[in-house]
Amino acid sequence: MRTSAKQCGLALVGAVADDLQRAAYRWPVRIQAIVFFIVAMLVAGVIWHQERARLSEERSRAADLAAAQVHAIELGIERVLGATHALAAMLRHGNGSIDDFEAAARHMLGAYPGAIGLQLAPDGVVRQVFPLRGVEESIGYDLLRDPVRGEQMRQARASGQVVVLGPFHLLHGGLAAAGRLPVFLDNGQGREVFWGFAIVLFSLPEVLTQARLSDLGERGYVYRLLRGTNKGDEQRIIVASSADPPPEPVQQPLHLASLGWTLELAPQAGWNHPYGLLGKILAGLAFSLLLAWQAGWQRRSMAARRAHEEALEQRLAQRAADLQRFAEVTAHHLQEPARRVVSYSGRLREQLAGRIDDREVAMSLDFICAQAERLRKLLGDLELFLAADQPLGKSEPCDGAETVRSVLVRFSGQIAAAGARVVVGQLPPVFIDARRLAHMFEIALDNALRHARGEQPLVIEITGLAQGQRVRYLISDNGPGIEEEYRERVFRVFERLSSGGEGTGVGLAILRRIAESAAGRAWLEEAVSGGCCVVLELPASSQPEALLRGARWP
Amino acid sequence: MSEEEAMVDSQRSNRMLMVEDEAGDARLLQLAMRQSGFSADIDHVWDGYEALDYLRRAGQQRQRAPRPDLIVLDLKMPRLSGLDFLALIKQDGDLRAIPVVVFSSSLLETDVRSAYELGAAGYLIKPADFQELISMVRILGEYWFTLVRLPHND
Repeated sequence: MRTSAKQCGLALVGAVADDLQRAAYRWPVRIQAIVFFIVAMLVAGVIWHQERARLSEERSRAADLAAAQVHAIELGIERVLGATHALAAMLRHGNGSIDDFEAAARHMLGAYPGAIGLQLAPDGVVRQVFPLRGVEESIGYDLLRDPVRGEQMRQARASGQVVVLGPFHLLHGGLAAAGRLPVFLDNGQGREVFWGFAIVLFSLPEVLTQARLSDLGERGYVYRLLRGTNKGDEQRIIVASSADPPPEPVQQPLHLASLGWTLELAPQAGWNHPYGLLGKILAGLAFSLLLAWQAGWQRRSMAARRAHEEALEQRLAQRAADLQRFAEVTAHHLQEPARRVVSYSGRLREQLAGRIDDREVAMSLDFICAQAERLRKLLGDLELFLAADQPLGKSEPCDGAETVRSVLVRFSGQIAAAGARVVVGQLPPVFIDARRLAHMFEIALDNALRHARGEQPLVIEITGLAQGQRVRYLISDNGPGIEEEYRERVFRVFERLSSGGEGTGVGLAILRRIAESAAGRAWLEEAVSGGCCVVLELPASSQPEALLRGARWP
Repeated sequence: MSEEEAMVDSQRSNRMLMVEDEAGDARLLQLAMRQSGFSADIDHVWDGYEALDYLRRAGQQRQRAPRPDLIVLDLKMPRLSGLDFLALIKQDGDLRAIPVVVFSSSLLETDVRSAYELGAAGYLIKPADFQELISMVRILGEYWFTLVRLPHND
C-alpha cells in the first residue's frame, strides 16, 4: 500500500515535472520572466541583509572609536587637573598659603601640559593669579557669588568635588576651560574646613590635541564635541571637524567632573554608501538578467536540439521502413519467377524422363532444377527473416513450458528419427506473442537436430532461469559444439558453417531477429556437455503463478 | 446431392473461370487440370475488371459467356486486384453464389484473413512443385465439380 502510494506520488511529481518541462519547451519567455523574478528577489534579499550587517558593524566600530577618544580626552583633562591637586597639597603644607606662588606656579605650568594659568581663591575670592598679565581684573572676583556659576561653586564647596567649567574664549584668543578644586584644610582640631579654590586654566585645543582628537578626521570621520547632552539644553559646540553636524552620529558622553560634554562621531561619507549600494543593485540586476537570458537561451537551444533530433529520428525511421519495404517487395517479386522456374524445370524433367541419352544434358537439367529450388528456398527464408520482427498476434505473458510441449509434438517425428532424447526443465513465462516464441524453439530444436549428431545418442536439454526482469531459455545439446570464433557468424543471414545439407542458414538469424524485436537477445554459448547452447533472453512476464510450472519430456 | 443426380449433372461440362495476370501460372494451371484427369472448360481473363465484364456479359465477345461453376482467383493483379474483385462480386446479388477459390503465392496472413473475410471459398498457395500442383487441382476438381456442383440458372 505504502509502496503504491509512493509510486503514485512519484508518478505525480514526474507528471508535474513533465508539465513544467513541456511548458518551458513551449514558452521560453515565460520561463525567463520567472527566473528573472526569483533571482532578483533572492539578490535583493542578500543585498538588504548585507547592508544591515555592514551598517551595524560600522556603527559599533564608530562607537568603540568614540569611547576610546572620550577616554583619551578624560585622561588629558584629569592630567591637567592634577595641577589643582598639587596646589591643594602645597596649601595644606603651607597651612593656607604658598610661599612664592609665582615661582611655584611658573614651575608647575611647565609640568602640566595644557595648563595655561593657575589661581588661588581663598574663600572663593580670586587673590593670586599667574600669569597675571591680561587678567588683572579677575583679582577680587568672588566665585561663590557669581550670578551664573555661584550655585555650582557652592555645590562644589559642599561636595568637595572638582568642577570643570568652560569652554570660554580667552582675551588673547584660544579656547580654554578651568578646573576648580575646593580645598579643605585641617583647622587644628581634626576638622577639615573649606579654605577656598585651587584653580587651573587649561587650553582646550592643547588638551584635545594631546588626546589626538584630530586623528579622527584622518580616519575618515567627522566629529564634534558638544556641551550639554540633553536636547533641552542649549548645545554649545566646543570643537567640530566641520560646519555641518555629523549625520546620525554615535554619541559618547564625558563623565568627568559632571562636565556634561558629548562627543558625536559619524563617517565622513555618511553611513550609507550610495554608490556602493547602487553598484550592488546594478550587479544584482545584471546577474538576474543574465541568468534569465541563459535560462531562455538554454530552453530555446534545447527545444531546437530536440526538434532536430526528432526530425533526424523520423528520417531514420522512414529510411529503415523504406529499406524494409524494399527488401520485402524485392524478395516477393523475385520469388514468383523463382517458383515458376521450379515448376517448369520440374515439368521439363518429367517430360524428358527416359528420353535424354546424353548424361551431361541430364546433369545440367538436374542442376537447374536443384538450383531453382534452392533459389526459391533462399527467397522464402529471406521473406521469413524480413517478416520476423513483426509480432504474430498479441504480445502477452507466454508459458514457455506449454509452448515447448506443442513444439515437441510437432517435432516428434524428427526427434524419433534422430534417436534423440529431449529433457525439459522449468521454463518461466516470458512476454512475447506465442507463435513467434514457438518459432524460436522450433529453430533452436531444428538446429540441434540437424547439427548436433555426434557419436553418442543426442540429448537436447531445454531449461530456463529467471533473472529479475529477464528470463533466459537455454537449448543445449551434447553434439560437437561450435567454436567460439564462429558463434557470432551463425547469426548472420545465409551464413552456414557446413556446406551441403538442407538448411539455407537463415534460421538463427530469424531467431535473433525475433528475440531483438521482442526486447530480448539471443546468442550461443558452450553447453556444459561441450555441445552448443542457444541462449534466448526475453523480458519476464509478470505473472507469478506461471513461474513454478515445468514439464518433462521422455 | 445423390450420386445419380451427380451423374446426370455431370453430363454438362465443368466451367471454370481463371483470373490470372501471369501467363506462366495460367498455363501451369491448365496443364495441371489436363493431367489431373478432370475435363473442364477453362476460360482465362487477365485481371479483375476483365473478370467482371466476363461475368456480367459486357461487350461484344462476352455476350455468350457461360456462367462458371468455379472462379480461381489470383490476388496480385494490375488494375483491379483479386481482393477488390472478390469484394465486388460478393456484393453482387446475382454473382455472389459462385464459389471463388483464391490461388495465390502470398503467404501473408493479412491476405489469407482478408480473403476469407470477403467470402472466399478457399485459399490455395501456389506450389512450386508441378506434381503437387496436379494433386491440388485434382482435389479442387473433385470437391467443386463432383461433390458440390451447384445448380445452374442459365
